[in-house]
Parts: sequence; structure tokens; C-alpha cells
Amino acid sequence: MDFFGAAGGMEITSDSKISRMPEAEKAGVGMTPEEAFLLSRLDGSMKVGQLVLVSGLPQQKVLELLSALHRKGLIAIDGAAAQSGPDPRELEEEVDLDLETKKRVLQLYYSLERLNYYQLLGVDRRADAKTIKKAYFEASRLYHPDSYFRKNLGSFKQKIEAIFKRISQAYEDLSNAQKRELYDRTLPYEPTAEEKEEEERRRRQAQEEERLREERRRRLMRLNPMARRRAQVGIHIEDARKYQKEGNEVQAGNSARLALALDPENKEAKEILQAVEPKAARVRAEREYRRGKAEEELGRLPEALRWYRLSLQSYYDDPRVLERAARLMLEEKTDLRDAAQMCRRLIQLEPENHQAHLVLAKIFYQQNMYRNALRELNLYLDKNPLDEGAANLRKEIEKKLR
Amino acid sequence: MNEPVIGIDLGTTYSCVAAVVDGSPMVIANKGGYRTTPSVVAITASGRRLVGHLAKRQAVTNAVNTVFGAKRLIGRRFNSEIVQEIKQHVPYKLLEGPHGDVRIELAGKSYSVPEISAMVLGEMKKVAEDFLGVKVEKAVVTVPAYFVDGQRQATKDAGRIAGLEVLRIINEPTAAALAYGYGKKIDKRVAVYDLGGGTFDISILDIGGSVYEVLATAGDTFLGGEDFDNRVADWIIFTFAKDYGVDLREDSMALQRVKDAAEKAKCELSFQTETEINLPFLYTAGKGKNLHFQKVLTRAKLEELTADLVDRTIQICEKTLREAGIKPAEIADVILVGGQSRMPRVQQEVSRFFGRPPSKNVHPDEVVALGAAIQAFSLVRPEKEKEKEETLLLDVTPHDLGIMIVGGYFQKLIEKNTTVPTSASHVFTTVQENQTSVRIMVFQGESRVASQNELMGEFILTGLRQAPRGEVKIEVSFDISSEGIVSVSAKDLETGRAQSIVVTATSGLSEEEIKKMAEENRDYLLQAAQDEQFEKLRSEADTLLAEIAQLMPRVSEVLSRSRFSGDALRKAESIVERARIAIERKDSVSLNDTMEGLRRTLDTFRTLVAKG
Repeated sequence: MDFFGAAGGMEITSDSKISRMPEAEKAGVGMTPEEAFLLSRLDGSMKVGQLVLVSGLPQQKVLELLSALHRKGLIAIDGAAAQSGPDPRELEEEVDLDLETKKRVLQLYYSLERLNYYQLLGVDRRADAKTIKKAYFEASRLYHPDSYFRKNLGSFKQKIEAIFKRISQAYEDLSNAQKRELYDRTLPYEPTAEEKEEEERRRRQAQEEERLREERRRRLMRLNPMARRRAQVGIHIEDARKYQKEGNEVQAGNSARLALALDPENKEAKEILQAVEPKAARVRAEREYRRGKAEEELGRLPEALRWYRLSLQSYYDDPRVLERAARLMLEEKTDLRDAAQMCRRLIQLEPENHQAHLVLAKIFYQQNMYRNALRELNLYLDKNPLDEGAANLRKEIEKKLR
Repeated sequence: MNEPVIGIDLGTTYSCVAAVVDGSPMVIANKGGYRTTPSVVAITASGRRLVGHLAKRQAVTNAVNTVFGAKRLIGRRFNSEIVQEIKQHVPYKLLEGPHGDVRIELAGKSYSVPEISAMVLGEMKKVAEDFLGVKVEKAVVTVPAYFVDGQRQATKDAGRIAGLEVLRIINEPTAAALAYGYGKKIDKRVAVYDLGGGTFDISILDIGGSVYEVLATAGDTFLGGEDFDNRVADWIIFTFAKDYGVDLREDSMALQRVKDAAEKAKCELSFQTETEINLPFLYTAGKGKNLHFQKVLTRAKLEELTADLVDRTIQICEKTLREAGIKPAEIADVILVGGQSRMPRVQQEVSRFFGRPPSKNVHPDEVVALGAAIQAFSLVRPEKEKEKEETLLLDVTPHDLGIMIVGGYFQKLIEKNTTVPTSASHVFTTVQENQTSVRIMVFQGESRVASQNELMGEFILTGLRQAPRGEVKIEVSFDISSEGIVSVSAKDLETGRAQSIVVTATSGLSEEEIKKMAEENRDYLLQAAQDEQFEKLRSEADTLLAEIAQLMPRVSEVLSRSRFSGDALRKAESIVERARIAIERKDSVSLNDTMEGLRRTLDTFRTLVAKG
């Protein structure tokens, strides 16, 4: 595919691989709704082309948003960084600099776009003015052109100057309280030291709990097979309760099912399963629906249909899924009976969904059930008399009936 | 030392030279033992140049051929108000040069201002060379912080004419701070209050380790010690006119004496509370009618005469701090620079404004040259010798930089006090229908009206697409290097067509002129060196000849009694004759050849006389 220009002279192509940066997971990140939407479509690591399909946004828009997200450090672009990295030949240029300095300059020069002011100066996001000044002075010593006065620097001259200009811009903005605050707003939220500590404490506590549970599990396992089995059931039920409390119905259901597998008559497990199953089914159904939708957008229709069917197995009464599945079946001319049934259910759920009548009409038509088709088509045309395609279809059906 | 480099403080009234010797910056005294040299140049009737103390001493008798304060004229246009004002007050003649620059006529020859400054720089170079014992070709020269590019360029040109490569032009207050912090591990914010002979500067710097960051700088190029002198001189002239009804300004010799006395009185009042100004025979009104001036001037009266000048400096300090968003209390130390800062009243006002007494650690007359030497040393020092604590100066642009836009307004692109190197760009559009070219005029200054700022250069971007106004977009980019060199480029964003220039502010001299002047200067110095050598030989030869002549009668007498008689005498007479001819022809080579003979002759004569 073609090359597209993007921020900082970096090239993003449809083959560039995009992945989320850890910063993207934090709350309070400064993003426009469009950027947030695009980020939500970004599943793990994707190629730009895929992302364009999945998001349904125009290519140019996606590239713009990606540039913005990249500037904010929320995503990594694979192909791009590799392309603009130092060329080994650059290290061989004959200039009055030692190899270490050359490496240092090139590395920093090619990272200028990626680093935020704090990273550039090598200071903490909450560093005080004094620390920032000190870092700036130290960096100046390394990158101020006067440190290389009358030296033959070749192509490094421009690079060293560019680095210094960036550093002094960073210092200027960070040493002014107002400017610094404005700049900070463009960066992802950075937890305070206390917040980081709290986070760390919570993580350790969870680890500790997990360790204790594991220990108990092992201890119980050492008992006789019956006791072990009982103990195992107890652990599954405990897990199920925990997940239920956390609102993770799917996991709770899974744990309850594991308990029932070991002890089919376990009342507690049955109760939990009954309590969580409807919600868990909805969650599963939603997840399966999304997968199906993504597959459909990528043009893999049988795969999409498979997911929609799974979704309907988990939960049958979602109009979105019913409609998509029915349309897809019609398009693929497969399982038309099921499709008709889905449409009927859909109409029951959404009596005002006239489009469903049209789809149903087409399904009947495909099955040569012309009377049924005519009935549904009339219902549709009542509300959409101007649809020429539908009118033509009616003429067709009437011909068949004659 | 690898390569001798020096720092020169080219002052309005005095200049000073320093170098880093064995790791320590030191001021180099001239042959007379003075650590500063008057920035005074004179041309004698015979065309000889006098610089420094020699020039200053003869100023009273040769006022029209003696230049004081050339720094006030450097890099200025003849037609400027400032030059026209100065023209009224100086005894020497100012003319308009071929490029609208200022020329000074001395002993019938016209000199450009950089040439005059070059004479001072050359003298400082010589002072350093005499002390260091090697040729010096590289220097850092200081200028007032508020100098515009043209003045800086002219100062650089002066260096070239004097045979010096100017490594860098740095600001005087900055240099002072470099010297203040050198070798100390300082981490604080300081203010430099520099009230020199002709200019006032204020700079605020952050010093951290050995990195010096200029935060803000401002000043007034027409406010200095000379203005204080003039107030005292005016007082003398006014008092004299009141007493005798005579205007001393019409008598250039009397005027020069008044000025000298005014400066002396002012200086004395820094250490005592009153002084007597005594100028006998100041004015001769007709036959035998001599008028004298004798009055006591008190410190209080001096302070009254100059109160507004001191106030002006404080106002500039206030404005500078305000613009930089710094409170006086945030300043950890105040460094006083420049001779005029010795005035007790100045020190009081500065203490009051900053809320602390100024630092006593620097010498106000020498600190700038020391700083220049430190900067020169830091720049040329080879990498392998560089320590971690090498001085690094993060300097700023002293003025806003920008271009003229529609309506004659000034659109700034780089704000003053921005750390260099720096760059900035801005997109402009055409203002006329089907405009196919645009003139980019680059200005420096703070006025919203472009023409009130300094024009630095201009160029034309052509070949724009014919389009309704406002449709063609032109990106103008500025770039300032750490050497202070400004380049400007303009680019048609549609066609990519670009034009750029390196803005070399005109010092008023063309490249050829500078080269020619540098050559002339070299020739003059060569000739002067030869003359000096000849004079030395002649004075030695004169002594020998005089003694020989004195002994001659006795020797003839002794020899007439001896059997060797005539031969030795004839030989002596021949050598004396050869020496006389060499002196007459100013032929130092021949004269040098005869010296040995003269000495031997004298020895022989002495022996003969002693024996006889």
C-alpha cells in the first residue's frame, strides 16, 4: 500500500504494526473521543490496515489519530521506529567525535520525537524546578554546540544542534509553572509516588493471598483421594464466590461448573451457577458477538456466522445478533430455516423493525415460500412504499404466484 | 597553553585585557604598569598613532585629533539622531562615510570607527603579547548586552582590522558573571549591574556548577559614567558662565580641561564627601586678563546633579525583572561592574532595590576582561583536556527578531532572551491579488513598528503562484547559531521554492574595505615597529657619538704624541661619518652595522685617554 506522511517525518504504512503502550491502560489519559474510540478498537497488536477495517474510519483519519496517539506515547509503531533508526554508516562518518559520543548523539537524535520532555531530560514527572535545572545544565554540557567549538562534526553538527534546541525548549517549558501544567496535560496521567506505592501494596497483597490459597490447596492435595476431591470442590466453590463478589460472573460460573463436575449434587455450586449464569451468558454472548462483528468487518463471513451462532447459544434474545446472523445467513444462503426463525424472534422483540420484515421476505423467497414472502413484503412496503427494490421483488413474487 | 587566547573588555573609556595562565584568569598590565588602558586614540601632526595613556595625556593640546569614546559611535549610522547629537559634543570632526556610516577625520585623514577601535584592540593585543612573549591572534571581545547586531559586527570587524580573530562576542555582564563564578561551585541566581563608562546593562543569570544560563538581559547603550562626568562639566560651565559671562564650550582646550577635572572630581567624591575643583588660567579674555575656576563640589551636590541617571538604571532593573517574572528577593547575589558602580549613591540604590548589599568579590574594572578570557579559554581548550567542570555559557538573544508585515508592523519570530542556538518559523500569506514576489525584511528590536527597529537584512522570494490574496502560504524560518549568526529562509509551501540568507548585519564596511584596512594596519604596525627600532638605535648611537665627540680632542692630542698617529683616528672618523649618514637616512640596517664599530671606537678612546 501507499506511504503516508505522519508526525515527525515518521512514515506509517498500512503494514506498520501498532500496539498499545502501558500508559494507554491508565485512567485519566488526555484523549479526544475519536482517539479513545480508535484505541478501543486496537486489540493487542494490529496492522494499520486491519485497524482501518475494524474501526470503520477513513484511512486518512486513522493515520492522523495514530500520529496523535503516538505523540502522546500511548501506542508504539513498529515499522516506523525501525525505519528512522541510525544507519550504521552514520557511525562511520569521519568526524572529531569518539564512537561513544557518536552513538549517544545518534540514539538521542532518533528518539527526539518519541521522548517527552521529562524522558528527554531524564527526570521524574514530578521533579522539582531545581532537579530539572540541574538535568538541563548537565544535558547542555553534552549537547551545547560550544562544547564542540570549531570541531569537524559533519552531519553530527545539525543533529547536536537539534538535540540542544529540543532540550532548551523542554527546559523553557518545564521551568515555567503555567507552561509546565499545560504540557503535563498533553501527557498520559502519571500516578503519584503514593499512588504507585498503593498500587504496589495491593499487588503484593493479592500475591500473598494467592500464595496462601495455593499452599492450602497443596496441603489438601496431600490427603486421601476422597478428601482431596472434597477439598478441591471446596476450593472451586471458594473461587466461584470470590469471582461472584468481584462481579466476574463468567469466571464464577466456570468455577461453579468445575465444582459440579467433581460433585454433581453440590447444592452450593448449583445455586451459584443459577445466580450467575444469566449474567455470565450475557457477557459471553456480548464477547462472541463482538468477535463475530470483527470477523464480518474483515470479510470472513463463515467465521463471523460461527461467532454469531455461539453468541445466540449463550443468549438468544439480542436483536443486534439476531439481525446480523439472519442477514448473513441470507447472504450466504445457508440455514435459511434458522434465519427465518431468528427474524421472527427479532420482529417479536422489535415490532417496529421493518427491515426485519424485508429480510424475512427475502428468506422466504429464497425458500420458494412465496405467500409468506408476499405477506412480509407487504408489511415492509406499508412503511417503506418508496423502496423500488422491494416493489420490484413484490412484482416478481406476484408473477410466481400467478 | 596550546594556543594563546585572550579576553578583551573594549570599554567606552577604558579597556582591559586578560588571559588564563596556568589555569587562573589574570589581568595583564600594560608597560606603564596600569591594568586598564584608556580607550583613547590620537593621531599626531606627523601621522603617528597614539593609543591609551599617551593619547589621553596629550588630549588637551590636541583635542581635535583625539578620539574618546569611539564605542558610542561604533556600528551606528551617520544620520541617526544619536550620532548627530554626539557630533555636537565632540571636538573631533565626524563625516558621513560611503555607506552612510560614520567616519572620523584626524590629522587630515578619515578613519572608520572600527579602525579607531582596532587601534585600541591592537594596543591590548600588544600588551598581552609583550607579557606572554608569544604572538596572540585569537580573542573573545565583550560588548554591552544591549548592542544590536550591527554594533557587534562592527566590533568583530575592528578585531579583524587589528589582526585578531574574534572567536566570540559576548556580553559584558555575562562575562562578569563568568569571572564571578569561575572555579567556585556555585548554585544560585545572580544579577549583574554593569554601569560602565558609556553603557548600562543588567543581566540575570542562573549559575549551576560551571554552567551559566542567561535568563534576562537589558540595558541602555547611552547611560554611563561619561554622562555623570558631563553633568559635573555642565555644572562647571554653567557656574563659570554665571560668574564671568563666558561660554567655555567655544574653547576646545578649556573644555577638555573642564572634562578632565569633572571626571577627577567625580571619582574623588566616591571616597570623600567633598573636593575642590581648581582650574587656574582656564580662560584668557584679552590681554593679561585671566579667568580661573576654583570651587568646592560636595558629594551631595553630585548626587543631586545625577539623581535621574541613577534612577534610570533602577527603572531598567525593575522592568527587566518584571518581564522575566523574577522577584528581587529571588536574586541571591548582586555583582557590581563598571567604574561608575563605585559611586556610593549607586551602591545604596542597588542595595535598596535588591534588598541586599552587592557582592564585594569582584573588581569592577577587571572582571569583564577576566570573564572574556575564561570564555576564550573554555572554547579553544582541546577535548582531552576538558574537565567536567568546564565553563559553559548558555547565552540568549538580546533583542526580539522578526520580519516586517503588512502595514509596516513588526512580527517577532524569536523573542528576546531566548537561549541560542534556537530556531522558529511562522506561516505568512500574501496580501495582494496575484502577488508573485514578497520582500522579506529582517528586523531586530522591541518596537511594534518595524522601521523603529534595526534592519538586519532583506531578500526577495519570487516565483509565487498568481492567486487571490491570502491564498499563497509562505513559511519564514529563523535560525540563530550559538555564535549568534542569524539565518533566515522563506519557503513557498506550495511550490517548495525557497530563498534564504545568512544575515550579516552591516557594520558599515564592505569586505574589501575591511581587508584593506587590515592591510593598512599591518603595514602601519610594521612601519611603527621599524621606526621604534630605529629610534632605539639612534638614541643609543647618539649617546655613543656624543661621547666619542667629547673625547676626540684628547685622543688627537694623545695620538699626536704617539707613533701610531693618524691611522686609528682616520678609522674612527670614518665610522662616525657612516653612523651620521645612516641616521640622516633613517636607515636602521646600516646604523645597526656601525654600532659595533662605534662601541669599539669608544672603548679604544677611553683606553687611550686613561693611559695618556
